[in-house]
Amino acid sequence: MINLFKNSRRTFIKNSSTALIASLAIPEIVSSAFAVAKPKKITIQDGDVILFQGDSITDWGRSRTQTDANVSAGLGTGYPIFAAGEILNKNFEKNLQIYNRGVSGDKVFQLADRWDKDCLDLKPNILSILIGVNDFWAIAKHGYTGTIDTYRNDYMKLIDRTKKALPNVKLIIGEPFAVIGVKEVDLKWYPKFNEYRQVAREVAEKNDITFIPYQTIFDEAVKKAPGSYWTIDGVHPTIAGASLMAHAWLETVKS
Amino acid sequence: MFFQNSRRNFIKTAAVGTLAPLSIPQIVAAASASSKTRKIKLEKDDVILFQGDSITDAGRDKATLTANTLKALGTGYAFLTTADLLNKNPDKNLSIYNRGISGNKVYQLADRWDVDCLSLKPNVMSIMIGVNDFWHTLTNGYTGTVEVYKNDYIKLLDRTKAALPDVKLIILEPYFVNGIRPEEAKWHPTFDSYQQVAREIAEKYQATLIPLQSMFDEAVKQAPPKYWTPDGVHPSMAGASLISHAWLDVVKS
Repeated sequence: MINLFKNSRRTFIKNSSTALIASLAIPEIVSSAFAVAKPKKITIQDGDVILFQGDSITDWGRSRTQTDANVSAGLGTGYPIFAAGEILNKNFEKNLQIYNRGVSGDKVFQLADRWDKDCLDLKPNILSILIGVNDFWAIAKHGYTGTIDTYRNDYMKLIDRTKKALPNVKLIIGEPFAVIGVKEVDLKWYPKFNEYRQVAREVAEKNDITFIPYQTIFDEAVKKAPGSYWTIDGVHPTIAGASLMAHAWLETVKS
Repeated sequence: MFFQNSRRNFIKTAAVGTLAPLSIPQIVAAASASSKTRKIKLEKDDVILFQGDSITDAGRDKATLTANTLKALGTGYAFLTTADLLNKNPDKNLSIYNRGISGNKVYQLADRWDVDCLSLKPNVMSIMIGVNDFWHTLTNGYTGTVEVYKNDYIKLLDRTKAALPDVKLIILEPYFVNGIRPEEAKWHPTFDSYQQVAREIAEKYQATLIPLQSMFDEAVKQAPPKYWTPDGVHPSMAGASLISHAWLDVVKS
């Protein structure tokens, strides 16, 4: 953000007259992560309802009683609030409504259980989903018996149901990610966890859905600072990590 | 991201010699340009402190005192700013604190200054204070005047400079957004004199001034006042993001 504001109006005009256009100051980590596959951009339109869905990474301390759109307590303190702040700040003419309905601990089938109330009823025009780490993690942690096939089938069913109810919804799927070497995440996660990442990508590709490669982004980030700078336990992002995710998310939308 | 549209507009309009309406980052840039902002350079291991009232506090957990910690930062502009600073400066080992307290006037900052400022040894200190110094004269029977505000503020900064001679100061102008509060007429022109004091003090101490009133004045030309602040004083999500952008605009990474 900082770099974007340094150049004054005058500088832009000067640059444009000489056709010297400064490079877009997308955070370097985000831009290199998207270098391989550019995200299919989603256009934010007047009156859009934007919904963030997922597990604790999305939830991140949101108030269950503040259910109105665009309210800071209702947005939690993770990547959705940073993304929402930016979207609202930049799209003041669009009358947007932004909700967070992430719930800590959720796996795909638990999203499905609350999908009518926490998704379809809100009639989102843009729906962002980040789900999958618990579908894997809960196997070792809580004796959950779901498999990779359960994850795939549940996820495909959820997307089908969503598209049936909301034929014009624009979807964003975030890749489940983990940072190895930070607390909860060790070698035992691999290679199994990679299958969950791959399935999320497949679900996105099969349905022509915009995909955010969060794992690639965190892989790039740990080249700049230790894993513990970006995630508190290998799974949940720090403030810096959540801000990084929001920047990646914002790369998928056009205002 | 921010210039996705505006960049194109600039280029197009530059060619034909007219300018598109201001977008938010341009609001920030325009307001900063007019005040000849002193930019602050962040150094490795810098301690950054946000001080102020409820606008800074924004629901932070008073029991969590460590740097860069989620709950300790609230959910306002200090939080949004911290996230961006940490994201963009992974190599700098920054320690960022929020010590704003709801309802504070300058003398109440002074009461807790040793613990909540000096002992943290900030390299960069950001202060937004003044709206309660005026507002509480309307609501709480507070009898402090603009002279009290000025003298208290000067004393506070003298004390800060004496203890931390190299501290870089950022002063955020107190702001008030018209068109929301029924008693709005009572705010002017007295509150304007508080704003004037904050600007003078920034000049006196060679602090970086963030002219928030100019920014909100521009912002309400683009969207209704309530979009930026539900009550004329405390920012909405969009308003907090606006303040955060203004803050980020004055630092060089």
